[in-house]
Amino acid sequence: MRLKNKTNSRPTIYYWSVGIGLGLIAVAVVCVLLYANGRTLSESPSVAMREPTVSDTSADVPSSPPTAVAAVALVEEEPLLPRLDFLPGSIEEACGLNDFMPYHSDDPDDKFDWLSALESSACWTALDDHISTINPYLWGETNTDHPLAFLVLENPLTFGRIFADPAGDLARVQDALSRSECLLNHGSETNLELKENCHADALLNYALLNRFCFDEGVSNRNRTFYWAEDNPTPEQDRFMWKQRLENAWVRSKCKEFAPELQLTVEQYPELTDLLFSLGDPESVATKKTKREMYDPETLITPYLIPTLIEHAARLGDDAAGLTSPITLFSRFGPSYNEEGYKFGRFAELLKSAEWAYFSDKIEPSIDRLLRSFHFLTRVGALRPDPRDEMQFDWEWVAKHLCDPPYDNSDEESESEESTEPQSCQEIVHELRQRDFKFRPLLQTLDKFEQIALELDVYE
Amino acid sequence: MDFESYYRVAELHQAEPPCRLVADLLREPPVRSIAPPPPVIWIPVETQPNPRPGQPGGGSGPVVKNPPPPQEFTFTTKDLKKLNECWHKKIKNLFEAAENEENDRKRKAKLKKLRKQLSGYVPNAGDKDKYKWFASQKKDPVGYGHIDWPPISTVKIFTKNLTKHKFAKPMHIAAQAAFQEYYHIIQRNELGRDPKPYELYDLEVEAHNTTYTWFYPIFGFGPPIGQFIGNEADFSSKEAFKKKKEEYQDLETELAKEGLTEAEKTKIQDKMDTLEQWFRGRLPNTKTVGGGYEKSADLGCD
Repeated sequence: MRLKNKTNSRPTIYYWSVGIGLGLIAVAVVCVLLYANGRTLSESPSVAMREPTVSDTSADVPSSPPTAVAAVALVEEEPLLPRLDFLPGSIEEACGLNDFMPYHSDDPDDKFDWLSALESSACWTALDDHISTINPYLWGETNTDHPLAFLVLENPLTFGRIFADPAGDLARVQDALSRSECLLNHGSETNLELKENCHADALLNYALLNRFCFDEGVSNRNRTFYWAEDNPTPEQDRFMWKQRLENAWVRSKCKEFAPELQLTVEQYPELTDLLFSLGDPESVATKKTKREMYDPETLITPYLIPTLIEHAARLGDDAAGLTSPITLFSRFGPSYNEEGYKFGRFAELLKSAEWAYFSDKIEPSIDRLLRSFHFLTRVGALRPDPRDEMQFDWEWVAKHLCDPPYDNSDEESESEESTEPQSCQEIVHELRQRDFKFRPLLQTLDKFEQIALELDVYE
Repeated sequence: MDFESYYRVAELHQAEPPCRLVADLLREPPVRSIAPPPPVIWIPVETQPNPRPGQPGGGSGPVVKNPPPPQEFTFTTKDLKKLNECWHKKIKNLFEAAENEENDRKRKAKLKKLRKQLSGYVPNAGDKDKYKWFASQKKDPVGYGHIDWPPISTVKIFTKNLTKHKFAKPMHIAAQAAFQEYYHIIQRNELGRDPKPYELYDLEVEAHNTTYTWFYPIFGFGPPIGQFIGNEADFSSKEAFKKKKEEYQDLETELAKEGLTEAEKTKIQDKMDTLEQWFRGRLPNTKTVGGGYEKSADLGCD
């Protein structure tokens, strides 16, 4: 009996087991589906956003339901990229970048109206907040040795400053250049005391307004591209759209300003004539020669904008005093030729061999960091006159010293010997073993270490 | 006091005046000096050796030692001018020597060979737009030279990039770079306008490969950087390139249309900017050594 019962019970147990198993599987499948669906509805997969621009503010946070975001006309056939989490109020969220088609999508009929994103006030404001803090010389730069990247200024150069009052700036430029004390007739003369009286800041603002609103400043800005053949990630894809929106915003913003603000020979014959005569004798002679060869109108950009900037430096605008020539593209592109660094209060520093060494992007080593820390200690020291003090942007400094790529990393070496590169952390650790007693140096080391840790560039 | 000794200062009393200034001022509480402080001495970048203090003509100021120079190779605008004058003169001499050949058959043969080797060379090409040449000490992401087209009309040779190839003498690279930039001026004169972004690739290949053959007759040994060959020279004939070129040309036509709104213009301009970056990002680049290159050879331009 027992045997029979036992024998008869086997199929029953089997069926029960199969039934329970199937039930569990079904429950599990339903749970998984419900969970996944719930996630899709409530939040996107969390993807870390790498923000390559200098002054970006977005961060990686869980998303919240979209608020008033830009309504962008979509191309229906195009599949969207996975949705990313964007900080509320960021450009990405406010402009609805998750709803943008992939950057390299084929859109021959231009159906995707991405520019309409700017019509949303939330998007416009987010871009305004973001771009207003950007230094035009550092726009889109991730790895530059430009002096403006290293030093913090009392009156920093930003798009916000340039766009604040262009008409007022032009009036101040005209006022200043109508007074003999502001002309500093000799090419190399400087008078930093005239900064306020001669509206040095307005000269720089007006020059850059012309570059960005009435010339190719926006087209010439530095941009990061990820080409279709390199299969950009969703983050990289959205980043390219963001850059595009930045450009479009600046171009739209410029439309707010009257065309009468443009510096042309026709509109401002006396002012342009005066500007052609400013500068060092050799530069004036060059300009005269070129005027005979070309339409003066075409000379405004290459000659008069740098002249205005250099004059601003000679009159004491600190930002103008940190400008130096820039080659925009690697081979045939345009250059910006202003050399304000020769005239401002930073002139001696920027012409020094120490600055040349420090501003080079060199792989960290004991010698490299030690020399840099001493340089930073010395330059950043308090001065008898507070106006002479110089304050570094320590975040930029830490990235500059510890964050690759380095300019010398691809150099071919003649010797076979190659030393293992050390991290900044290892180097600082070694330096601390040396038992330095020079307190300012130790303070520099502490400061650097703290910032490098915060920025995660230390190891 | 140089940096090396400066960072080894263990005790403040060992510091010289500039260091003491820093240290004193950083003492707590901060003290503001009333008397004029000793000047903070910045060490200028020396392009020419200067007499040092204490040496004849060196003045009597504080002794400041320079740290080791960041680059061993120095190449100034003056050096570039000298180099340019030298190679143009060598070409002139070569043609003069060929012209002076008494044997008519030999003269013709020599001239024919020279014209072939120096094909594309035009004397005084830079005079038309009065180009100025500079040896720039700034870093450039790629390349040895850069041209700003008229009306700026400047040619820059990037001193720092000349030292990147250890297999070659920087001065040899400078010569090859100068040839190439000069040839770009010839190209620009022929075009009569600035090149379009999609023309840059072919202009670059042509300039490099044409001037590659100039090096041997002028200096008597091969150039340091090899020619563009195969795909490196041929990318502009590939479908991907041609497609982008057509796209750019279509946009040019579109932008020239009348009655476009500002938004439409912005969109077109934006697409053109993107394409321009694409073309500029794909310019040919070679690191191969040129045939017949001799690192120890002398340019004969000293």
